[in-house]
Amino acid sequence: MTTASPVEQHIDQFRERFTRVTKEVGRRIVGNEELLGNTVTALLAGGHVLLEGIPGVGKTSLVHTLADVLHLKFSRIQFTPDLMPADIVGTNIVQEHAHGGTFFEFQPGPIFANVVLADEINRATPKTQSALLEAMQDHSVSVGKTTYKLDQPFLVLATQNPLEMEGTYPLPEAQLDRFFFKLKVLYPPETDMHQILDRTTQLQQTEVARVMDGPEILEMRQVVRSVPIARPVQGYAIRLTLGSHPESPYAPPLVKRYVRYGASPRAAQALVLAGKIHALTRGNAFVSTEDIRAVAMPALRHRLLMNFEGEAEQIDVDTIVAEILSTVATE
Amino acid sequence: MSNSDRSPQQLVANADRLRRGRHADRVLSMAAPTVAGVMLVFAAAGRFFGWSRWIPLTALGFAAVGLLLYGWLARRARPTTDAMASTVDRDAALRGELRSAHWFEANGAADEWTEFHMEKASERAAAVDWTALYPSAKAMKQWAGTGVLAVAVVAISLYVPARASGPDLAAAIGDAELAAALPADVAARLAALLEDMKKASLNKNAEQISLEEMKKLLANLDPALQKKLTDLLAKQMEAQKQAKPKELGEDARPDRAENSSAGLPEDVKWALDDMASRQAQQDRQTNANNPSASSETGQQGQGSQQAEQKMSMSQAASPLVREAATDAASKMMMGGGGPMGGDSGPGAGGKKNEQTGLGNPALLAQALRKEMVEANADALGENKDKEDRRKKTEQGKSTLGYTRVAPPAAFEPSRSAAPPPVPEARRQLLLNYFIRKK
Repeated sequence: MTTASPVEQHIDQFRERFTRVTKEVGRRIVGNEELLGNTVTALLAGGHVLLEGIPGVGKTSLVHTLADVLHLKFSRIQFTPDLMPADIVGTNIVQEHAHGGTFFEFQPGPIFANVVLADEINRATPKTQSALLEAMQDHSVSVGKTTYKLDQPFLVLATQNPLEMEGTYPLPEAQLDRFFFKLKVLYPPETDMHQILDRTTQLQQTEVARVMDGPEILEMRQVVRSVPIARPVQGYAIRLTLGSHPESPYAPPLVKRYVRYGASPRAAQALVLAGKIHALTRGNAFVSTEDIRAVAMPALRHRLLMNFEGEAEQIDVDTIVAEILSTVATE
Repeated sequence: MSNSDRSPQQLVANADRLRRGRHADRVLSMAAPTVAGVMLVFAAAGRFFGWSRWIPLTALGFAAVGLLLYGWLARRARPTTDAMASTVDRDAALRGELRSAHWFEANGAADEWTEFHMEKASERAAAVDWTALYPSAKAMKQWAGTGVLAVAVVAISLYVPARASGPDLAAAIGDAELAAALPADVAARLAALLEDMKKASLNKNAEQISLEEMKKLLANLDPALQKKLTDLLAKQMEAQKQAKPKELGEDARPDRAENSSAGLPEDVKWALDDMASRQAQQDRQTNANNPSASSETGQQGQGSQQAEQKMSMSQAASPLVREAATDAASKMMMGGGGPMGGDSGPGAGGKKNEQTGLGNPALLAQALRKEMVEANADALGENKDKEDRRKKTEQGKSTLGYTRVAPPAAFEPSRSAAPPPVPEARRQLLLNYFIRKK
């Protein structure tokens, strides 16, 4: 009997945990396996997810369920036009000493949690949206002269509605770029609708167990970063990123015509990290171009800024990303 | 299998070499019959046109060497690249594992994960049946066909006699048995020589050279056969001597002259004309000294061998000996009158006279061409010094200079010309046009 090497054990353990989480979430969320897998991928990569979908397709339910499964501190922020940054990050309040005198005491906001649901994030003003920038990038919050570190793991799951344009504020590019993935929550097919109704309209509610905790997530993040990636494969991720820039030689005609700005280097980071997780879920200790291609769509689609012509002709960004994937060579 | 044989780089190298070799096999199996077929046609053409038998054999050898060289180059070991690894990996459906491991081995990255990755990649790649993935080309028919064609090329080149390009030797000597007994090249050369002698297209020197050559060829043959051939050549020479005066008659000459000068450049033709006329002049003087050597009709006497030889040479060398011998051009250039000129007659060339050829347009053209040859001797550039001197003189005498006169810069109304006066007949009409009536 041969004993598995430590690397093999890490890979097997990673796959087992990943599958456990997605299966547990899948007990409550019907269908959307790819959506579930990508959400967990972003969590294990240390990124944040922007969920876009029409109302009622289960975006908020997904985030709630994930928080329940992960045994993490969860908070929800309902973004409204009158929401202020202090409502998110917290504020200093005046307290009185017992022996007299006053002092400022920091009252943490809802951002101080492991899993933060930023519901309908595009309803808040850009000023309030920007309150998330530091937290998402540096995992810290600065109030006055003090910077507070956020607990790890920290995951922001934001939702937005693509239909309602009145009273919404599109996310600034800097904010969008900080999301690891942008996932589209699609309308469920007819077969899934039966299961949704069965699970939500009966007396018994589906309960989920907490199958993973914070330290396990951090351990899995270390495993992800251990996966080696060959330079030619990394070069492919870079070419995909550069291919989204209209002035790049890798750019396909659609990009040259409709894209104003392409993806940032964060996109390449997201491609590589997500590619590593995708490789691990397949039981591989290496990253291939197939892994990069599998995660390219959610990693790139929100990082392309269309020009006026693209906006006017309502060009779908997914079409452009698909064009990039089909034209950029893997070798 | 040793560890080095199972390293990702070595696996990629072996697989890529196998892939290239199989590809080369397929290319060769398609190209070889085609090349052999072309060689066969080439060999047949060589026999048809009487080329050396070694030409198609050499071409066949070069083609074989070229194909073998291509096969060797395709199979030789090459340093592996990422593109090679990617191709092999894709063909074996290894989903990028071998390509990635190949890169890590080439770049020496070594940690726990990388070693595990390379080890796994080697295991998976070693498990691939590469010979099944790159099967050998099934091309027995093509190779058999190539062999048959190559053998046919060799057989045609070595054993099929060349088609006689000249006249038929058997018909020429009237002895089919003797013709068949000779080697093909000797027979062809002999037939050509006999044909030339029959047509009397060779002069004495050429005839002698050909006979010497033929004797050398005959020296290698059977003595009995050699004697027969020597007799045959002697007979043929005798017959040629008797037949030559008739064939060299006046009527045959113009046609032969046209044929033998056809295709020559114009300046060469003129030079030949000039040489022929001088030769004819010399012959006339010789005939004048020895009247028995020729008659006035132009037929040569039997006793004048020297004159016969010169005439023969001049006829072989120039197509215009007959015309030039009449020396019409020189007469025309003399301007008529006197013993050399002859009387003027109707036509441009003077009196029509068949013997002297005066008034014949062809002779006039001949004379004109001679004139042009002499005029052309004044080569371009001979007057260059004179021209230079002339130019220098003109420059020295030139006193004209160029002085720029600027036009008036401003418009002066006083200097402007007045508009032309309106004719009285139209004055009222104009006034009516511009002045509104009340």
